[in-house]
Amino acid sequence: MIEILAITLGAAIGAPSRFILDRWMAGHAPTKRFPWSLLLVNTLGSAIAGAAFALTSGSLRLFLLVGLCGSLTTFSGFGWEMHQLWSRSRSTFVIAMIVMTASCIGAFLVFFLLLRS
Amino acid sequence: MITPRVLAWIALGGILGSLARFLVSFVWNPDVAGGFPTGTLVINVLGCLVIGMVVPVLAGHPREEHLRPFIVTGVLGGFTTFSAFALESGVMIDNGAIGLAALYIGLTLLLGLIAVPIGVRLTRGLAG
Repeated sequence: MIEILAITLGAAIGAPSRFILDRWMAGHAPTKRFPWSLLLVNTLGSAIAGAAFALTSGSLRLFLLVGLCGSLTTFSGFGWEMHQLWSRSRSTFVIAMIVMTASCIGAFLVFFLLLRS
Repeated sequence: MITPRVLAWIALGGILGSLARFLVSFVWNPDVAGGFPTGTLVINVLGCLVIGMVVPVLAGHPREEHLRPFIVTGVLGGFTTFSAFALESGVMIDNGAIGLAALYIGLTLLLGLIAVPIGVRLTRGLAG
């Protein structure tokens, strides 16, 4: 039961935070036609996941990893933006796919490797 | 517009999506970190298929303005995850399982990104 509560609380924070960050980033994006908002939330969520995976256990781990990071980041939103990008610019599609994947795995690894004991 | 009402719909959807993800990953993901995360792969590909199916439908119902935040940003956003994908890939790389990591990353991107247009076409087919 405590597991369900931990995930519920994390998701209740993570999903609205993604929406707020997305709207904020939409007004501050350096260029159009690139999924900057998703790059921000997915990289941030992956970095927090790295720290949580290195440092936490039990309910706190479920709250951060499954609840907060899981709902702060999104793969379906990434898929939808990439689908729209495909018809606009194939080169941006390829760049966005590589940058998103490398940025998130890199952010996870940096925090995980630095913080694990 | 960011309103408390919209945020509440997104939070509710996010909770439902996250609990569903927990259930699926509990059943399909390996107990040990570094094994092949079939659960996460299924979750992300399924979420991409459904987003492709529902976004065109929701675009045709602009008056139901809470539905898109609830279903797309909330449920689907909460169900699918990039952090678990990054975590699982990162752990494989850290373990030296580069081939497995490449397979997992390649399969997730390929199947996920193909699932969206398949979903769009499914809806179009159903709409006649």
